[in-house]
Amino acid sequence: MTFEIVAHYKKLLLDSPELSMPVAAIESLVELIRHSKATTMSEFMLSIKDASQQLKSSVRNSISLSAGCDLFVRFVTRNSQDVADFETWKGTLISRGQRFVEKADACRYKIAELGLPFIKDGSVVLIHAHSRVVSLLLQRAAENHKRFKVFVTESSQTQGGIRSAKVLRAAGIPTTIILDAAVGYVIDKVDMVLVGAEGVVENGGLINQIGSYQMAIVAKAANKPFYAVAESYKFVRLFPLNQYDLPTYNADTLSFQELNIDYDSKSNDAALADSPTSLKKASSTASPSTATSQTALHMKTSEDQASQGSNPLVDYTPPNYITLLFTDLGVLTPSGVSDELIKLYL
Amino acid sequence: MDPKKKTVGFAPDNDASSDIPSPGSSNNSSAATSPVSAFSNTPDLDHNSNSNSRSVGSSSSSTAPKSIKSSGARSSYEPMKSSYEEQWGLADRVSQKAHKMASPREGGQFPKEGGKKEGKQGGKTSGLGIQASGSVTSGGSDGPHSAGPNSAGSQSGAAAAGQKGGAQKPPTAPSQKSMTKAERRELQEKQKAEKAARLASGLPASGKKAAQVLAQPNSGFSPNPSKSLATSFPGAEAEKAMAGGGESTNQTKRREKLTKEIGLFAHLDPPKFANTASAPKDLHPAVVNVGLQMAQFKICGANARCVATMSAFRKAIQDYQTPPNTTLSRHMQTYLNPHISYLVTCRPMAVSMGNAIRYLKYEIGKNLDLPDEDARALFLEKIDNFIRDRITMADQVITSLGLQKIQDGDVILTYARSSVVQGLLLAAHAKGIKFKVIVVDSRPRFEGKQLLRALATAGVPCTYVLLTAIGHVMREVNKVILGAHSLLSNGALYSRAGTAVVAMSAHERKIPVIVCCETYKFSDRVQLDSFVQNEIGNPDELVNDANNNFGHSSTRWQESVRGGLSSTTNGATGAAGVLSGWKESRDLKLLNLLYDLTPSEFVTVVITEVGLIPCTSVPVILREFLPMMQQ
Repeated sequence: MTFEIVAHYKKLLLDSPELSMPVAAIESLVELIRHSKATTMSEFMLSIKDASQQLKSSVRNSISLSAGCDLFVRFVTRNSQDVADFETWKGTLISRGQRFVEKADACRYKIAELGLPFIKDGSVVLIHAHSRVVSLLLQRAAENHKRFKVFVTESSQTQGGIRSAKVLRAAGIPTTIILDAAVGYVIDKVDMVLVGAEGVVENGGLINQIGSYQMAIVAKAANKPFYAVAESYKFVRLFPLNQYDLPTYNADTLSFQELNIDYDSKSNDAALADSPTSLKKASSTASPSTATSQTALHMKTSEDQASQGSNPLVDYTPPNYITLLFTDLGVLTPSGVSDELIKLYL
Repeated sequence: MDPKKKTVGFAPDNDASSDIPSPGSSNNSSAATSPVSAFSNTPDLDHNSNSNSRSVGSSSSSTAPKSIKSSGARSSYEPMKSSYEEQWGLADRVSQKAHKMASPREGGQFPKEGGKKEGKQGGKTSGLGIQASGSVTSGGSDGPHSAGPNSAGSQSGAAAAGQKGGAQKPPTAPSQKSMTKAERRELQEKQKAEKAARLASGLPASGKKAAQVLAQPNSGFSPNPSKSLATSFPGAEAEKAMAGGGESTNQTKRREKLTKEIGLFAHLDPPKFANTASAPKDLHPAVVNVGLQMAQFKICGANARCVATMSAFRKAIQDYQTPPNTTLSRHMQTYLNPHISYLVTCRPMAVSMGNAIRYLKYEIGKNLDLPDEDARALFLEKIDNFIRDRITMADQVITSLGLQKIQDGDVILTYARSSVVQGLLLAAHAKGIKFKVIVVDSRPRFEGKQLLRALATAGVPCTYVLLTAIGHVMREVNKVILGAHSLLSNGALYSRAGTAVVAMSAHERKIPVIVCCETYKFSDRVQLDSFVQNEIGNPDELVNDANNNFGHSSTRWQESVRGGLSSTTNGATGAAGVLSGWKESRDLKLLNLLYDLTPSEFVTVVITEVGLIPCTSVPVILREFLPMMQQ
């Protein structure tokens, strides 16, 4: 293939850090159409589906990306019904796609307008990691002379909280970075929780950077409103039943790695054990002290792996924890999201 | 003799002659009862010690024995009675109500303001605003439901001007129609004989007056109220007459069953029994057949019933001959209507059937101007398409969507049997997914056994438990998959009784509850509890005695268990014995509800042919999707 969609997508994201993944995906797909040499309809459709599959598999966390891809594929198939002339149709798709990308930015501003009244003077807002749309909303609020303070979780995996804090401090908002583990500690001081979204799923639930779910639980327990902020192009046709029903979940996620450790600690055990048979059972029969040393070893060796492969990047927040969603379609209840999604995809 | 005429003639015959003022003392050994009890006119009253004891019991618990307002009350009897008779003739249900109202106060003669108050309430309920003197609706004690429009209406009608009640005559007596000639004759003769007997004993000719006569003097406990009741009311006489002869035991049973209505559920249709006798003659045999099979639960399950109904209608349309001076599409609706109402008499219509029939009618109404043969072909095609698109294909899509949610190592719990769930589990197994199924089942139908058989035959590892063990097995479950009878507009799931418990206990443990339901089962109804609308099954199904095989295939198993037990203890048989006599026991009522309602918050996801949706999106689907399907 002459056109490398994945490369193009990555270049887009690098060039403009403000671009969100689904928009970049759609832009890449538009670019693909531009380069497409397909002569028949089915070949064309196949190439689009193929490319979006490539995109999805190119990144580890494909939720929001796949929302953009699915939306575009849906848009293409919907418009494939009455094609008079193939070339002009392609032209229409390209221009429509471009217009979508241009308008995508406007979405955030609309959301910021809609969400503005929810931020009251003198309130304290807890946010999670970094989300462009949440930052924009808070910036707009500050511009509107609202006086409020922000707690932001550090989000150790991506250091998103530090990025958020920079942006918000620059806008003159008093911001404190807290530990991810301190959510429960601060919740009583907080008036509302505001999170962004990687994707909004069919039941109105949320897929977002890891830690959102526990924030939602804590907020619910403390009876604080939990608001999600998401552009409508992040609505994704997924229906996770629980945390482990996400497409990002695989066999490696949160897997236990004792087996590797056992091999490493064998030498240790061998020294203590008399016979090869007891060696095999070493882990179960080892004395407490050995077990402790083993655990310590385990922690050490798996530390790197934990920070890389085996820890999940996103979690799923069920709709019953979400108070409202601020979207460019309006401020919706979780069930309103499914209403919109059904309208979109049916 | 024309049965209708007879019914009408009945009342005057008994009443007209009797203008006797408030009765004097009773010289009848059969003791007395109050006009209330006469009024309450239980149809069932050919009485025996059994019902006697019942009234004794009820007098002690009696909420509102009625004071007697003799003359006023009496003058009001006539209209009341005639309308009553018609009601009785109309449907068993009415007489059940009447009876139920009667029972609490049969024995009680204590004048009580409370009773009056209740009567007032009853009158208000009926919308007539009349205090029902001498009559107490059960409305006060049982809630407005139980004082259904018929009973309340007739009672206040009684208290009101006679004409009113008379004017309100409901259509007469299909049940008399359904009587055989011999039965009717018997009934007539019985009445005559009774009248003669009364006259002989110096009582008024009218059964009612007689009862009053008997009632008045005796303000205390009546030793044998049922006896006087028996003679006290024409309805009772009719009942008695009918009970006479060879039919006696049969009728007794039926009558007794009537008394077994439960207040909270009095607004629901009583259990129905297969009966072709009441069916109009010109029904298509296929429909009659389906109706009977549904009544006997041979065809059971929303999908099966819907497909059976639509197929039967298809045959009916196929064989339909257009009568002169009309066209097929114009006459079709009128032709189908008796079929539909026949099906309703067999068993309350399933939501699925209702939707399918509504669709068919919609198609018929839309194509009024088609030539006959084109219309026939069109309707047949529409029926086929409906079954294909909304049921068969929908099930396939649901299965394929559901497969995404079943993974290796899953332990899936399901309740009773749903055709879609069964298909999904079998498909998952065929796909090579390794999972385990826990089939939860319950009395009295044990529908889960059918599912269990299918799964076990296919080689799916299964566990079978009864609903009582739900708390125990829920621990290892990680998904619950349920079928649905219907999904209501508020997202509530209306399904086999017991589903709510399963869903609730899964929700309690945060186990996802997956419901498989085709969109054609979605209902625009809203229901907040299982009481407003439900279906009452045959209470005999709950009786666990050796002679009944309502447990279906389970009977053998039950027997073996019982056999095992009885070697050591007689417990099982003893327990069965308690229930087997339930009809004779005055305080024992059995309730066999077929459905229950699961609130939407207990349901995680609904798998439909349009995708996975939260159950709160039912109205969205109804709004967005149905118009599309009906095009």
